[in-house]
Amino acid sequence: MMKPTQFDEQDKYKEFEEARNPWGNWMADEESHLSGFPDIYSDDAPELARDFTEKRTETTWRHRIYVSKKNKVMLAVVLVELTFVAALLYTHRTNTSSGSSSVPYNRYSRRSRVIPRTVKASATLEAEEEEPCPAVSGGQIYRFVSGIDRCMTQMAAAEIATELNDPWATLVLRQNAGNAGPWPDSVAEIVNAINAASQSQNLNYQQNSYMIGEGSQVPVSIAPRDGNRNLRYVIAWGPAGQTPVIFLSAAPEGVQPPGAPAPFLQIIAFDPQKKAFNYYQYVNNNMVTDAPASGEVKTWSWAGDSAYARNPQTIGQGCFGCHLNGSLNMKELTPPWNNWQSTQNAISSANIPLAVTQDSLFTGLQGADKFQVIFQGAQFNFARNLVGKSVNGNDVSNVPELLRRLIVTTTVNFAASQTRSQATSDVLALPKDFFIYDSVLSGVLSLKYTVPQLNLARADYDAFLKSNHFALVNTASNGSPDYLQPGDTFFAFYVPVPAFEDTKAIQQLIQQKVVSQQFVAAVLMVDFQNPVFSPTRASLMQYAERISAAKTVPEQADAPTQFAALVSQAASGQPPCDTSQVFNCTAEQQFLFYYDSDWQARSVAQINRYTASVGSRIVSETGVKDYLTLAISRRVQYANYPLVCNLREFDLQLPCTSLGNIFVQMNVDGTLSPQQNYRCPTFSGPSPCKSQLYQSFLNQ
Amino acid sequence: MSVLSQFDPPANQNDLPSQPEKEQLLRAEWSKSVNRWTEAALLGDPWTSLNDKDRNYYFNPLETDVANGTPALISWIAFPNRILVAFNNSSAMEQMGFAEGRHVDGTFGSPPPTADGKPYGPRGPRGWQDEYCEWISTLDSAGRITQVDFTCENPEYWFTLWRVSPETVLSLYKKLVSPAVQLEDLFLLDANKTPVIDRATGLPAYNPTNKWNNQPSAGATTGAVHLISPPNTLGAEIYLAAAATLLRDKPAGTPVTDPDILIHCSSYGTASRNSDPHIGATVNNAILGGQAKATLQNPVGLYIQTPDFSTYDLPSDSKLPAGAQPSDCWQIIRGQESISGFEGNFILHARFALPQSWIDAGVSFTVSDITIEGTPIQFGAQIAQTFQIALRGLVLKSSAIPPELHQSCVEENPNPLPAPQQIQDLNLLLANTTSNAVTKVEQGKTTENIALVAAFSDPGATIEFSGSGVTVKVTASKPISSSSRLYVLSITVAQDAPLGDRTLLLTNSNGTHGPAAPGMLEVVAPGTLGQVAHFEAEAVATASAEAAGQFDLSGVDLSKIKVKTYRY
Repeated sequence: MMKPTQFDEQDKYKEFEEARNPWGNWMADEESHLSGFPDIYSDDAPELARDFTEKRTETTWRHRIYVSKKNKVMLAVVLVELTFVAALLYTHRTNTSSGSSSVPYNRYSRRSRVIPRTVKASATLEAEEEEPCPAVSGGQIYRFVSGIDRCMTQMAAAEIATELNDPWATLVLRQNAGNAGPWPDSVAEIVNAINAASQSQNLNYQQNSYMIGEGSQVPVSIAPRDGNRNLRYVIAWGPAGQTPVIFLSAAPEGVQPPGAPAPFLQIIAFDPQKKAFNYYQYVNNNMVTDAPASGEVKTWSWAGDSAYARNPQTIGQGCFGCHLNGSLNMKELTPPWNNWQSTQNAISSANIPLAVTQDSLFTGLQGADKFQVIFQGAQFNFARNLVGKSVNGNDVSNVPELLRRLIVTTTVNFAASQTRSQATSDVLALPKDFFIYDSVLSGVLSLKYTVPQLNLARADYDAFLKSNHFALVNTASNGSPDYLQPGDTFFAFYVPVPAFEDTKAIQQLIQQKVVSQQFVAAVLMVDFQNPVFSPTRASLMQYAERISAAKTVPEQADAPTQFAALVSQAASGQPPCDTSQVFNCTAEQQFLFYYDSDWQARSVAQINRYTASVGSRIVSETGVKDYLTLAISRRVQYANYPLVCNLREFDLQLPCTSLGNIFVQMNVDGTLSPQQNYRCPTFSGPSPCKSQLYQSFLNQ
Repeated sequence: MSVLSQFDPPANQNDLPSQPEKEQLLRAEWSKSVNRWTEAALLGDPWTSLNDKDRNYYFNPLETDVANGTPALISWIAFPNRILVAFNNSSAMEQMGFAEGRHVDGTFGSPPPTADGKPYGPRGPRGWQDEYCEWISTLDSAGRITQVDFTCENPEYWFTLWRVSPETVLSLYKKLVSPAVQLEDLFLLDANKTPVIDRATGLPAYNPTNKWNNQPSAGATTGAVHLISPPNTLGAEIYLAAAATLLRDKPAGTPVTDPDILIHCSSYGTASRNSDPHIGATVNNAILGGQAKATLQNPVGLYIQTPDFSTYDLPSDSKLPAGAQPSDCWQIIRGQESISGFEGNFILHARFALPQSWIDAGVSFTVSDITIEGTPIQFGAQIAQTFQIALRGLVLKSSAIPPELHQSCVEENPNPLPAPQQIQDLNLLLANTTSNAVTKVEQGKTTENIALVAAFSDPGATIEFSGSGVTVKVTASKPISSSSRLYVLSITVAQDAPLGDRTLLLTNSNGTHGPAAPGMLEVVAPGTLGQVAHFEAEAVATASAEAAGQFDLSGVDLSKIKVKTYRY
């Protein structure tokens, strides 16, 4: 099966347009069906999701819903008439190491959320799915691009030559395939293979290991050393002084019994020919497809490259369930790195298995602070390449996809106060990007506005946590054993904020003259007090989707001019609004208000009024409650926003609260108002917040 | 047995390649200094604190076999994190300006504004650059950056080098900052602007915060020759690493592992820095892993690591040589890019500037036109966000090492013992030198006006140095603060007194005392001191008679004495 990368191909392009903006097509007429979910981890999720999908499919052709033999639940819905496809594949494995029943704890139950391919129903599809996938052969390179491939398929030499030119492929896989050399199936063997290849070819690769674990700060008084903490290594290799080119994500071998297979091995490597990342997994068919399959042998399988992240057939699937824009992921990118080993945060030897503490990869850990610089370098260059590929002289193609990075929350990072949640000092220095998209408005556009001290009184913070029953809850579905730690995340005010990768993409849009600063300001000032998950701002995506091609700025045919014309046309049919209260206007009217030669002064005036209100409220008990409530809401939005919700892989990332599934938004006067509920279309599973453990905690 | 023979200078730096005798002297002096800091760090504070002694899981590599040690590179971002926390509501460029001491409003040199109603510290020139890395940007007449100098060199090395060869220090200043530097610019001056004579050399003492090694100042040329922020010392780093080997419980049975809490619990360093909490937590974690001891790996030092240049871009310029890269602008001025067998870099001083070949080729841009993440370099601070500072730990693992017992957090000793804090020539102390070099006395000679600063001691306290042949007479005594007292000593050394270091035992008149403090005095051979007389006559003539005379403390404001401490 060939890779469908021709986004401008007519039939695929339409699908692509629909799929790229799940919000616009999904929220508009489904609001009434999506409200009232009890919490973000509802145990009732499959039923609710099914209810939702049935409603969605009343006028559509419905595919089947089935439950696999391997404890997998798949709800597959194919919507025709080019509407957004929402369905759910929840893969819950009680043990991701097939056949390793001796493993005492299931430590790596990673949620797998898959949106099925956006293809028209095929009469032969069901028949095809009856055919079992053949067992894979170890020592050979396979491909399984989720959403396209039904079974793992051995890659032909020509395809390998075309697709796999990253150093992981060229140094290891292509060299050693067909029993020509070692076929690494563990962290140690991968480390050995890459370092040996680097040495033999005088590449002088530097190796650095990093560690993250959502439960890494849970003390042994709460969970035993070998209890689940979702520990993972990230190991990176690359030439000295340059951005690494190979990244391995894997569980430390010390958390498994000696000899047990690695729970997961995932590699991302940069292909200089494609200027894209290739994604690999060490898997077999049982692990990646719900088609019948036999054989337990695993091998290295190519899962696609960066281009597949926004391919309509593969959006949100497989690796691209989390690598939403086709690059690397580091959710906690900046200090204080809530769950990473870092300068601000040590993963203590006292809290993790003894065998891990004796692993040289652990004793030689580098901090997330170092990885941050590496990651930002990789993202910066990825964003530059991404925009550059669509700019040819004065011609700009792929306009909707480029503008999506400005208009929609495509993904998020997490930021936090550098104050511990369990401390005595006030909670200091809340992330500015929580309140306003400061990274762009100030950092890129250089708007000069005033931001107040963003601190929370400790007494008010502690009281809020207590009254709302904050607790980090781990249940066996996330990895044994069950445990509960009262309180918030390790660092206080751990919240989703606009993503660095979107910020860099926006910066590149300006620098490569796809858009103007004025245009960026005009878009971001729409509902500016809600820098992420803004349905108002996201609704502007419909205008971007109508721009098939553009010129670079400044020209009449540039993207901002075309966009503004479309918005003006739409706004002309809307009731007039009072621009002295522009925040009450429609998204179109807000955009047009700021899309003006006086955009800087207009923006600064509105922002200053807003930040002054926040400053006056945040020092009051009511204000603290509101902003902590908003923080919970943003976490809930993160856990439910289409595609972005795929990033919530581990229960321990966020605490349960008795506020449940709360959706609120910020107003320009610094107060809150309700926001429409919605729910992650690709997740269901047992909720730690519905567990007996948490319910007992609530009743205490 | 493979113990270290001596501590080497940072990065094995040799600043005296053509003067082998002086080089050997420098190396010997340096090794003795590192050893003294190590011994002091091993002892901790058994006088004024509870639970801050028995640092038996730190070791001195001059005494312990290091052959089986496992090195660990401990690194952190050079940009001062406390700026980000204290001024979170400022724009990114304002934060850069605060870190640089050159602000977006065009002003120079002032520290960051008050934070939470308190002056921002540490005080002093470049005090705010408190991550063991300091820098100065050089601007052209149009205000564009032409070069940025970064240093992580500890001040102690420069004090040592000055005592061995002031001329070499001068030549390095000329190379690093400006040919206009004059020797007298580097002298430590007293309140009357008179050079303060260091009895050890017979010549003026070194002023580390001289005008050529200072914070940015409008219209002035200055440089970043070595670290001058008060906490940025090597002694502090060693003390911190040793303190971090103590395992803590709070409450009992619950190990303290959080870096910032550990800092408070063990009373070292400053929270919210990138460096101190991380160094401490990393060392503590190694010990916590069990059956391990730790030390800092020779050559003990702080080292700049090569930046990640992946987000740097050069402006387009037709005269740029083919293949030009932003990394070409990174020039290692002191130290080494690497040392065989070691991980990471050993850079002591780096400069980011256009290579001469580019300038010769006629390029028309400056450092300010180079971008990082698409933003032009307006501050050297932006570069500081892209590289790390590192030190190297060494962990010894052995099943023979018994588990360390956890202690409670450090507390103030409710019954503090008389604590020797600092011994120094009185004139140096009163001039507030920041040197912590050992005080030397010669065999067969009586040396006057040696100051001892002590805490929780009384006027009748007795002062004894270990070993034979050293006697002490207190010629004056005066309180400095409610808990500190200054004693002026006359120290007589017998002709046959053994050479080498002496510990100091301070005993109050009621007989209470703590352990003797190590490394407080060194007995040297006759004729050793005052021999670095190779300046011009004018410089020597500035030597004050006060070095030999009796001090009258009655008119001296002792409250301004700054006692050197590692607990920043």
